[in-house]
Amino acid sequence: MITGASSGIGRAIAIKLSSERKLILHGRSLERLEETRQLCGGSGHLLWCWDLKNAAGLSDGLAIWMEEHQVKVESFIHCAGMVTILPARSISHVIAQEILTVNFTSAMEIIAALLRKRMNQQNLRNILFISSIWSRFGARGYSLYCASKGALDSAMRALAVELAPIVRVNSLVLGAIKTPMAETGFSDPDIIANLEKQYPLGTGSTDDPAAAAAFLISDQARWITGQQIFVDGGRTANMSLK
Amino acid sequence: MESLYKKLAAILEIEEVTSSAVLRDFDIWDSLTVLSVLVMLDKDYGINIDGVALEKLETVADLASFIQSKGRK
Repeated sequence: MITGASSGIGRAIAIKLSSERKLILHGRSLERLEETRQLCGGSGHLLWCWDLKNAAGLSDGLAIWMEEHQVKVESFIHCAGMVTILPARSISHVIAQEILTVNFTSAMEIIAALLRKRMNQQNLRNILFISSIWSRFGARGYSLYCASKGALDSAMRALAVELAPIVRVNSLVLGAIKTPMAETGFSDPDIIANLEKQYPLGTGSTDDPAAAAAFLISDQARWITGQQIFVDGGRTANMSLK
Repeated sequence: MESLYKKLAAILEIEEVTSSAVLRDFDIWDSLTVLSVLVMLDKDYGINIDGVALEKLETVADLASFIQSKGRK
């Protein structure tokens, strides 16, 4: 199951995994999910439409959908997310709640559902959070976004310990990648100039997290759990002055 | 448009705004303030624009006309 599969990194991960696995593609738009499905290899991929802002009824909605489609979930990749950049003085509980729900709490609800015997019969083996370097570092206006990604990575470690040895849990910590969600940043010439200096390997493409995700949920990663795996073009290793 | 003026005053952290006030002349007008305005336009008026488009609106009155032109009050 891949949340946020209708575009960007979620779509790229889906396409990468599609020839070897049956996928549940989650997103808000049936139309865009269908586009993703058309781009996928293999067959038998299913679509689940749900706005993760609607936390109430999320696990019930998922239960009904899983019952209807008679599916079990072995790997859960949480790729859905939103970016809300605001000065700290403009933050309200309502705004904070929205981004924390989409980026973090919704994933926890889904995981809770997938761990229940009645719903998933202990089929879950892997959880992967698509996180970001902003879970470890700050930026102006990013306090809520950083909090939401930090929450994912902290929960990841606790879940890895709690759910071992049956379920492995990791975070893929990503640097700047050009996706529809990142378009505003990538159309700012000042930001582009900075990125070129800051990223030893340049900025990433959506294929980069897709390859790492495929590895982390495979048996080849069987001894990796509770880890933040950084895939960031070397950005966080770089403290150069110029 | 009264509530727009109130929202702008809150974002700009002043008592009240006048329609002729030039947005970028406010001390507090930086990239984060621009984002606050964009978020307000999106959340309260359902208008989705980027920073480049906002740059073209010079005064408070320009912003008010822009919102009205999109059929919002």
